[in-house]
Amino acid sequence: MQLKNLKLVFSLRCEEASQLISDSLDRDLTAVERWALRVHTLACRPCRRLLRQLQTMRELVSKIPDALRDTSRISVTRLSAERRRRIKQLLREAQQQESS
Amino acid sequence: MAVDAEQNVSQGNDPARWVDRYGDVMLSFALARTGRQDVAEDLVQETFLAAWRARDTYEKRSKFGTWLLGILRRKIADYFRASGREPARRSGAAAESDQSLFDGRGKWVEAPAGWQRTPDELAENAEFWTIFANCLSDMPVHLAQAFQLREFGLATMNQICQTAGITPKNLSVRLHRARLLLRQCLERKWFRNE
Repeated sequence: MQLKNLKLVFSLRCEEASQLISDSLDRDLTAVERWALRVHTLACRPCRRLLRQLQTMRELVSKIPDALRDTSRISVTRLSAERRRRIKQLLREAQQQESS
Repeated sequence: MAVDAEQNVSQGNDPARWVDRYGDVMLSFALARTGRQDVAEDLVQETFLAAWRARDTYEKRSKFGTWLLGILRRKIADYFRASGREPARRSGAAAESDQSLFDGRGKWVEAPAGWQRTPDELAENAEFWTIFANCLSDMPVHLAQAFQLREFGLATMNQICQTAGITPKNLSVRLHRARLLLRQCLERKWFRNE
């Protein structure tokens, strides 16, 4: 193992560990990252709890009530229905102007 | 996304389909930069109209969506020039980390606690979901958006990066922050009071 990697394994701070824990939900960690995280969490209860909390949150999101998912507050940015209609209408007018 | 499907959308001279296919993505893009829904919608509208007028200049070598975003980028730049406003702060990895979650030595400011109830029990509880929704809406828009796109399975990591115009590294920082803010909020407003 390279010195740089050794250093990562033994000097990981909570901030970096929690970044890796978050990353582990999105991608496969490298071998070195996995080791670093294992060593850190062995000694750090808050970071062990973080992993469990993030897993809980992911499971919760999969059970989110439909009504809530659909409210604007929690939904992803969308073009409003009114604006969508308006843009389509303007485009139609532009089309007709050309063909007339 | 299949290239064929994309070409069909651009070649078929039915611009209404452009709106359905690209409208939301473009709105997210404009909103992330202007921070205002009304302005973002105006810019998206102008972009579609400009794209229709300029459709003959679209070259099939690039993706249609990329071409549209190029026009939108120019519209956004024009908007900032004309209004004399500053673009919403471009958030790089450094700009996004602050001192509220970790102290100067990288230690937890508020260490995660043990959560007692299981997801199944929580999912039944309407009050919990109200708090969950409030926590999400309290988050900075760009963080909440990244979190929702990712966790609701609405877009791949690559698509999120493209939409928001950020690198994979930026995205992982955003997701990290979003998750920590959400877990902190849930802990303060729900788990601690159980």
